[in-house]
Amino acid sequence: MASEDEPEGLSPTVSQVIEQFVAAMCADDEIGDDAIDRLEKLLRQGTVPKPDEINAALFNPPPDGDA
Amino acid sequence: MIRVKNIHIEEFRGIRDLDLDLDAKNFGICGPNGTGKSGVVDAIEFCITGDVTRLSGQGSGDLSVKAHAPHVDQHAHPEKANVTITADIPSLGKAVTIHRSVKNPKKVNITPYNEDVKTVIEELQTHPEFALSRREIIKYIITPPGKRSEDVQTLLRLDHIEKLRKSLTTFNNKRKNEADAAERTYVQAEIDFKNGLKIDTLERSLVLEKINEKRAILGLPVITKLEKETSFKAGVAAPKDKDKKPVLRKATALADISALQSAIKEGEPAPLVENRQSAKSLLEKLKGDEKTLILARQHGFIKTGLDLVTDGVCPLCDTEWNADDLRKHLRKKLLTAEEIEKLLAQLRVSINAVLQSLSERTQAVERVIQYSQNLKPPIEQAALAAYLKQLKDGERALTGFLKDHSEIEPAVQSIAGSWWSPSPDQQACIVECHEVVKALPDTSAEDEAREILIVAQERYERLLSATKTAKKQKSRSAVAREVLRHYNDSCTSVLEAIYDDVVKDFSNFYSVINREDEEKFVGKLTSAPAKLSFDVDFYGRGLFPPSAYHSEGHQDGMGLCLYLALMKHTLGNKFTFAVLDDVLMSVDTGHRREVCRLLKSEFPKTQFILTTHDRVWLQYMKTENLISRSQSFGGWTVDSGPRVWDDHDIWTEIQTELDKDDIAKAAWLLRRYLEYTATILADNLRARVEFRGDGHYDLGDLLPYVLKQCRKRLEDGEKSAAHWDRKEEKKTLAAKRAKAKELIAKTNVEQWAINPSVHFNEWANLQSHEFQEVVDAFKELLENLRCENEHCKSYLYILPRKGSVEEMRCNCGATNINLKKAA
Repeated sequence: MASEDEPEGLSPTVSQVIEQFVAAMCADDEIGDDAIDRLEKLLRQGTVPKPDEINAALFNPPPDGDA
Repeated sequence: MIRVKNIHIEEFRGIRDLDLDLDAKNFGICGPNGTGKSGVVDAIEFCITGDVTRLSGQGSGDLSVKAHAPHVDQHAHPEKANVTITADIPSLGKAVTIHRSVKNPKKVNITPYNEDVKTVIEELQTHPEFALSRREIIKYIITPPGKRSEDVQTLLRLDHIEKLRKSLTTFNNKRKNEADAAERTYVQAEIDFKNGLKIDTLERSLVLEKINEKRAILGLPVITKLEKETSFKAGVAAPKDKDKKPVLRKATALADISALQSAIKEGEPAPLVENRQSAKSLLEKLKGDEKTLILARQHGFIKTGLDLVTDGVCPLCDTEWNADDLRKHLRKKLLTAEEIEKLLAQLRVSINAVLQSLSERTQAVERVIQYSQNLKPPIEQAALAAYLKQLKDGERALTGFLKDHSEIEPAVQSIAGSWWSPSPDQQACIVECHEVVKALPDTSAEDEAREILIVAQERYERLLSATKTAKKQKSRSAVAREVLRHYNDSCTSVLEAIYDDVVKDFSNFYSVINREDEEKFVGKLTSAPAKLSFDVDFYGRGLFPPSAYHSEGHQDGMGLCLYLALMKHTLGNKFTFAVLDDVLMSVDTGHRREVCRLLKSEFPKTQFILTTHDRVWLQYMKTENLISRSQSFGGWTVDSGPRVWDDHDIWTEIQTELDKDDIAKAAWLLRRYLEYTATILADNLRARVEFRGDGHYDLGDLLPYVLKQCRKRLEDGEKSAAHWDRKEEKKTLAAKRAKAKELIAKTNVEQWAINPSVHFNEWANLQSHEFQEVVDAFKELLENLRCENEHCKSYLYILPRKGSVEEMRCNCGATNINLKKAA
C-alpha cells in the first residue's frame, strides 16, 4: 500500500497504479505472496526496475538473510 | 511555481541587451518572424531549467546550449550570455531572483536561497513544458496514439508508468522465449528416449515392458513402477572398461541412425511444411514493410518524421511539401500496432514449430557425426558437418528474429528453403556411418541389453530434467504474462480515470472557445497499453481523430485546450506560469477573443507570457484584458538585436530622428507605426476596408477607411443619443466628432487620394518643420482615439464583433458610446 514515506520521485499517480497492480496480483492465485512483496518493494524504490531485477524479485529470491 | 516580474537578458541568442517588465502579470510579446520573440522564450527556459529545448531537443544535431546560446558575436564568450529573472513565488509570498550564465548552464544562482525557494525552483525545472511552442502543443493532437501516449504521459509526469510497462514487457518476452526453448528441449529429450527404446509413445507400461525385456536378459528383477527415482540399470554391473572415451553402443547407434534415415525417407512432415510456409509468408509480409518496421519499432524514425510534419516545409531543408499528403504517406508505411502484434504472435507459433523440428534434426545429425568420430578409424564427415552448420545457422536465424524482430532477412532465408532432405553426398555420409556401425561385431545379447539400459537411464534422467525445466519455465512464463496483464489493466484503469478528468476539462475549454459553432463539443481519450487514442466530435456527426476533419485553426485550439487540461490536472493550483510561443497562429479571428476569455476566466492565477507575430492578435489580448503589458519588436539586426517597439515612446523616437534632421528615418518610423496602429483600429472599429486576397495592406489601404469609420461611429453614437433623448451625451459626442474631424483634416489623410504631395510616400521629402506638423497631427489624432483614462488608454473598439453594432467602448468602461437606436 502507498505509504506516507513514499520515495521522492514516485508521483501519486504512479503510486496509485502500483497499488492497484499489487492488489490485482494478490487476487491472482498464480502469483506467490512472497514474490508480490518483493516486487512491490522493488517498484516502490522510485526508479524503474530492469527486467532482470523484476525476474529476480518474482522467481529468484535472495538466500535467507540477504533480503 | 512562480510569477515573473522582470527579465533581464544579455548577449543571449539574438538579443544583445533587453529588459522586460512583466510585473508578475500576463504579458504579450509581438513582432514579425525573426525579430527575437523566441529568443525571449529561450531565455526564460534557460534561466529556469539551464536548457534550451531548441538547442538540445530532438533534431538539434550538433547544436548545444554552451556553444550556441550566446549571441553570435559572443559565441566564444559564454560568460557574457546571462539571463536574470526576478519573480514572485505566490505559494511562499516571497520574491526571488534567478540568475544563470551560459558559461555554466548547470549552475543557478537563487537569491535569497533557502530550502523552500529551492524546492519551488527545482519543481519548476522538472516541468519544462511551462514553455511550449505551437509545434510542441499541436503534437498532442496530430501524433499517432502510441506517440501521444508517451507525450501525454510525459506531460503528466507519468513517463515512469510507460517505462515500467516496457520493462515488464521485456521481462515477459524473455520468459516466453525461455519457455519456448525449454519446451523444445523437452520434446527432443522425449524423442531421444523413445528412439533409445524403439517405442512410439511414452506409455508407462510400454516403457516398463521394454526395460524389463532387457533386464530379463541380464537376469535382473522386474521393475514394477516407473517413478522419478526409478533406475533402469539397477543391478547392472559396471562396465569393466573404465576408459572415459565415449563408447559407441552399436544397438543405440543403429537405432538413432535408422531413426534419422527413416525421417528423411518419409519426407518433410505436412505440419512442418505448413508451419514453414506460414512463417515464410508472414515474414515476407513483414519484410515488405521491413524498413518501416525497423525504423518505427527500433528507432522511431517514421514516428519522429510524422511529428516533424507540422508545417508546409521540411524543417531540415525548407523544401515545400503538402503536410497532409506526407502524413498520409508516412502513416501508410506504418503497420498499426495491433496488426504488428497479431502478425508477430502468428509468426511466433509457426517459427517455434519449425525450430522444434530443426532442433530435433540438429541433434540427430550431431549424434551421427559423434558416432562417426567414435568409429575406429573415424569416418570423415565434412559433408555432414556442413549440413549441421546449415541447420544451426537456421536455428540461430529464427531464434535471432524472435529476440529482435528487425533481423528479418536471415530468418526469411532460413525458412525459405527446406532443410529436411540432406544433399545426396550428405545422405551418403549417413549411409556410410550406418553401414560401418552395422558391420561392427555384434555384441552379446547381454552386452546389448546392458548398453540399452545405460543409455535409456541417461536419456530418462535428461527427459526428467527437461520436463522439470519446461514446466518451470512454462509456469514462469504464465506468471510473467499475468503480471504484465495485471499491470496493463491497472494502468488502463488508473489512466482512464485521469483521462476522464482531463477530457472533461478539455471539452469544456474547447466549447468555451468555439461556443458559436461547437458548443456541444465532446472529446474522448481512450487509454490502452502503450497508446492513447484521441477522438473529437465533429459537429454531431460522430467522433473522429482531430486531424480527420477539423481545420488547422481548430486543431491549434484543441492543442491548447488539451495542454491546459493536462497542466491543470498535473499542477492544479501550482500552475501559475506558462509561456506560449506563437501557439495560436492558425486560430481565426472569430475565436481569438474566446481564447482570451478562456485563459482569463479559467486560469486567473496563471501568468501567461504569449508571443505572436500578429499585431491584431496582440491587440485582442489587450482589448480582452488578458494582458495589461506587452512589448513589440519592430525589427532585428545582428548588431543590435530586437528593435523594441514600445508604443509609449515611439513619439520620442520619431522626435529624436527629427531633431537629428533625419527625415527619412523619422518618416519610416511613423509609417510603420501607423500601419501597425491602423491594423488594430481597422479591426477594432470594424472598418470597411477594400479586401486584398494576399492580406497585405499598406497604410493607404487602411488609414483612410479607418478614419472614415471612426467618424461614422461617432456620428452613429450622436444619432443614438438623440434617439434616446440624451442631450448631454449628444453634445459631448458632437464635440468629439468635431474634434476628430479637425484632427483628421490636419493629417491630410483625406487628401491622400487627390493630392499626391501630401501623401505618405512624400513624407521623406518634406522639410523638418513640415514633417514635424505631420507627426504632431497624427500623435494628437491617435491620442484622441484612446480612452482618456490615464490608467486605461486603450483604443476604442466596437462590440459585438459580428452582427448589429451595439456599443463603442474602451477596456475600462470609462468610454462607452451607445450605438443602438432601437431596443
